[in-house]
Amino acid sequence: MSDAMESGSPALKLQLRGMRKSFGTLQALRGVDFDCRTHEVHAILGENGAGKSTLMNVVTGLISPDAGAMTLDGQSYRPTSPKLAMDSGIGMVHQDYQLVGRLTVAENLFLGWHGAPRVANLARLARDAETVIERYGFRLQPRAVVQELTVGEQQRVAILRALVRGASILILDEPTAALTPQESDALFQIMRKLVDDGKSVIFITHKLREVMEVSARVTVLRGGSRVGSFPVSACDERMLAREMLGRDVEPLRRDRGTQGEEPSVTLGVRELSVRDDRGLLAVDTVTFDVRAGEIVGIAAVAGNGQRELSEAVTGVRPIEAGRVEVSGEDLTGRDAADFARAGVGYIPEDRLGAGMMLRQSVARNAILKALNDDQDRARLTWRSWVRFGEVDRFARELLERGQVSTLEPKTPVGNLSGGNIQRLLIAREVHAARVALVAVHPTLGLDVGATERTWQTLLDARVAGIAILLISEDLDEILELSDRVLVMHSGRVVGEVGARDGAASRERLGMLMGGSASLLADADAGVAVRP
Amino acid sequence: MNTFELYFAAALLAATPLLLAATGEMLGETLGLLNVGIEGLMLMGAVVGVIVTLKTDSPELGLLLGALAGAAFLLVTYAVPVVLLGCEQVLPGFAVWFIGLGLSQQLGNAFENTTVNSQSTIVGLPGIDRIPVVKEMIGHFPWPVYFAFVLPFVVAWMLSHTQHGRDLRAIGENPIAAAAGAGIAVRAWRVFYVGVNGLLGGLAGAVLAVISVGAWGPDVTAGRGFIALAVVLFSGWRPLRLIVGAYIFGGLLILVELGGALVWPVSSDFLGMVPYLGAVLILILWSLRGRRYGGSAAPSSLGLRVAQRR
Amino acid sequence: MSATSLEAAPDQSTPPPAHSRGRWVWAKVPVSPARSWTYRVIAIVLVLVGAGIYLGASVHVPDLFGAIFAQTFTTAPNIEELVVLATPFFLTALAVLIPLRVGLWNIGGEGQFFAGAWLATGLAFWLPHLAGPVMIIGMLLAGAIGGAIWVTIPMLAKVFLNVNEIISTLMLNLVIVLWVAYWLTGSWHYQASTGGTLESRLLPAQSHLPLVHLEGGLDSGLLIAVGITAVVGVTLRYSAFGYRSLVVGAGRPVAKFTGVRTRRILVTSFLLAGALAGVAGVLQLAGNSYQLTPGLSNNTGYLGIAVAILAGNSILGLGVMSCLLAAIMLIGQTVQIYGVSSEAVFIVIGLLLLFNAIGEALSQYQLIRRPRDAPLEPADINVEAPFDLLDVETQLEISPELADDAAFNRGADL
Repeated sequence: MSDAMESGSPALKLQLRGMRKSFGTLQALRGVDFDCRTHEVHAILGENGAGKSTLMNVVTGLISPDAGAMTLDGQSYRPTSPKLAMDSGIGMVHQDYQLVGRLTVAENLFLGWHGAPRVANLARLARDAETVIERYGFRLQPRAVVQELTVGEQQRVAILRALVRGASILILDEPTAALTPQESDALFQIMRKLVDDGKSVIFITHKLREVMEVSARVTVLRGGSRVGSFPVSACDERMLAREMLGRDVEPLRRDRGTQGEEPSVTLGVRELSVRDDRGLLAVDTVTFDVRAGEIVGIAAVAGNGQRELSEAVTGVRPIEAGRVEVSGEDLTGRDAADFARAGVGYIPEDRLGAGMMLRQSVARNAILKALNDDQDRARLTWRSWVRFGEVDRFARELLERGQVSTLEPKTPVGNLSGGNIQRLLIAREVHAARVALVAVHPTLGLDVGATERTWQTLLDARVAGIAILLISEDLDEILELSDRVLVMHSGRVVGEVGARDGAASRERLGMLMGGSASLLADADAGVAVRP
Repeated sequence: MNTFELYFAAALLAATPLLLAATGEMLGETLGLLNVGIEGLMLMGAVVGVIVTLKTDSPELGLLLGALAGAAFLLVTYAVPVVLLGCEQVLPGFAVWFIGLGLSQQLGNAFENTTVNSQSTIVGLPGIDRIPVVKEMIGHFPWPVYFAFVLPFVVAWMLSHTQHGRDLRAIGENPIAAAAGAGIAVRAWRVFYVGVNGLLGGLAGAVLAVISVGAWGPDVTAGRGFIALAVVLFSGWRPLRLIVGAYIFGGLLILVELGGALVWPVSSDFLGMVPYLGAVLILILWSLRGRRYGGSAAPSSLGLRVAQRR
Repeated sequence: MSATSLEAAPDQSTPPPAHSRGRWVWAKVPVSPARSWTYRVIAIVLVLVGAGIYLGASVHVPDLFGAIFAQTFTTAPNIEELVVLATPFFLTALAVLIPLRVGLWNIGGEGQFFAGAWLATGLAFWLPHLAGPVMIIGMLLAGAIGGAIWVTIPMLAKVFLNVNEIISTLMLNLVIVLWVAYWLTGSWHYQASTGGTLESRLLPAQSHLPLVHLEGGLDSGLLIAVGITAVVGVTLRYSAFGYRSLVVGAGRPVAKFTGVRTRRILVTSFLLAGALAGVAGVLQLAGNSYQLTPGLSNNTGYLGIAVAILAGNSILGLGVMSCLLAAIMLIGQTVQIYGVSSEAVFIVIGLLLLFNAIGEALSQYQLIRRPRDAPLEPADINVEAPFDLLDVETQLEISPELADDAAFNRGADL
């Protein structure tokens, strides 16, 4: 826990009173108050959709509030643009870092900053960057191109960018989402050091454990309102969960399947190698099985080949070498239509971009996979013509099964809420998954209620004998659902961990995901990954 | 001057409007703005350039006002919908093309085929008189030729060596990061550079009509706007390659005259096809080469719709 | 819930001013097709009204609009001419619309028009003694083939090499003009032509499209065009091919996710488009002018682009916009006697495109009044509200990474 109150005395730094914001008919903030002091790590806790990011976007000048007042260092503070917020000493590290991938670290550090040299070539800029990097004790290569860095390194660039501008308040939005446990620890070290120097760190998260670990105070938001602010010393995880959700959390139903002693191998992957978009080897001779009625989890930090793996075992991406078998049938080299025909469902990472046609109606989206399945196709088409009457009925069935609150198949999918789109997609893919289902981070961005519903759906599918491959960066999700967990690093399976060993599993998973035990060396290993 | 020198001079002159328009468009594309209607823009610059020159007897004024007309035209027809109102980019580009086509003809109707004298724009390159051979070839050109040649170097330097240039590249690569992460005034700069694009495109048209051709006619651009687009693509967004591309096409465009002068047995129709076929061919070859080296160098947000509401 | 907090500050939010019931905000609203359509119609009306006002202000003739209306729309030959003008638009607009559904821009309709007309003319001169029906069918086929051939190079360049199709199709337009000119000054030159007019020899009589004797004698070209349009419309809406093109048009990630054969769809769309534009050329050639001339198209190919864009994604819209544009062109011809140049109609068309685009963009937002304390919607709030500063949205483009994705290029087949 932080004993940051030792050096210097904490003073009120930032104060928000009565912040309100609506987006159309959606009320994101309803009169929220917030205080932040110097020398403190202040966590903002809430589930997805509670308004945490919106509140901070107001502070950083990205969103103009409908009502409310802010003071910074005792002065009235009304940022009308991000630039003004930055000039006032507020630095934000967004969830997706907001870096320009194609530019170098040095260029990103000084981007848009009036204090940077007006005329300078890259060499000079790199030297200036080197000075700054060393001053804060980070480890970054100034001439490296940002999009080739690991996620942890990119985050450090974003943090440094804020510090370079003289940020006295640093806001981090869900910073540990894509980090291994070791990298998270390194991040917490950085946070503690900043706070010792007198800065304030505001830390947005939905993870209770992290709140307990590193923050001094926590403000809980729920449904756009502030539920309360508490010193962390007076809290425990259970109480925070109750405040965050407004109710107690129920355990998931986890039934034993009816598979018998040795269930058959549904999805077999043998020596699989797959190339990524740049032609580099992303998956390197991977071998594993998923049996009927089993959930195999694959834990990996972003960029270690798991996305390419998921695309290869569903036919979306071509295979470089090796074999993929579904129900004993060799489907190597076939496309997504053939995999769908074989009964493989796929919940992709990019749900809106790849899984749905946003401008088309629900009905047209509902049959996206169905036209490949022999049974469904017989029902939905006649020769080469689509029978839209049947399509309509099929769509309604899916909507009902998925408990989607819109029952009109003609609605364009883009008009549905995010949660409804997710339910439709899962309903469709579970229907298509006659034997196997590949799910990539299926609960990304969902609130706890929707997350639990999704998890329950997956567990029910498991009971029904579907082989499920679950790929996720969220260790909670992996550990909650999987029967066994494989860890991928640099395109290889580097280890298998039992899911039921509690904290030991988490620790071991973290080390495997990071590729090595030490917490900073893993970043270097990440850089050396691709040839 | 012998034929080669004449040809060379004509090619340089023909290349200059292409180079100017391409440089302007490349700047716009560096910020993620694709304008497919360069043709219309050049036509507007051409018609205003000719009319002003005829009325004031001053080609310099004609060029200047042609450039300004181009800037105003592009700002109204392209910057307003695309940057300020958040429209997508191809449709307003077509609008620029069609409106430029119609408006320029409406304005230029009465002035068709009246010739213009642009002698006064010719300047001597200082110090060149000492070098015997070269002095004939490149010593005496209208100033836009030299300006067009130097400009890409200036742009290249700005983009790589100044903070402003890096900010511009950031806008084109990732406008959200530029605005939210770095605090750059994305919308303001985009509007500004649409103006610059219009200025250069208008100047290009004016140079074409006032200097190269010497008169206004509805066909004065004959697809050069689209060739300029091809030149930008071919350049891989590297300013120096713009020069190479523009000069190649300058040479191709005057093949018809060359063939006539040398009395080639090839029909002038076929010679006229060469620049257009060449544009397609160059794009194909460039794409083949690009595939080998992987990746496209286009700014990542090129052509994407960016709507900024505040 | 606040009772359990240990440090809860009293709620000091300023109460809302008593006099206001709500405030005006720009809200992003879900776009329904009806809403988008309404905005675009309003945009079109605005432009037409504006043009009318301008015309009325600059041309000082009493009862201007009455005169225009009388000259343009009331005489039978003029109605016929309206129909004649509208007919090729059906096909050239389809030539743009079909590729547009899958994210491709076919700007080469003008060139494909001429390519089809040229090949058909060649057929007619090469085999001048074919019987009537055979000749006509042969010419229509030649038109389709010519147009398809003319789109092949840009198509291959785009599908396999991601070469920008706007530039390549347009370049070929300019090439075919010269190609046709070559033939018209060469072996196809019309000996009896007067002055400097460029035209070909007359086509043999049996190549002329027969007249259908309805009121005023419409030629069968219209029926053919309408028939083709209807067939294409039904196919696009109800066939598996039509569905798959929607998937391709939704973007490459979706296409790969579904396992649709993207290249096959792209190629088919392009070839179909080229063929249709070529047929349009033949209909014009064999139904109206009976000679190949450089002005045969009267810019139909380019205007077809505008028709397709304005029509949105519906065949009905296509029909309506074709007639509208034909009417505009007719009016444009009529007012030439008042000093308006012949190409000024392009200004109106360009403005229509511009306002259409603006209307489309504006239709996504609405100025609404929001009460201060409206309750939360039953719909989920799963997704955090976005910035209201910037919002990047991809167009219906497949291309940007087509050439970058080595895997995609290797994997997908025809």
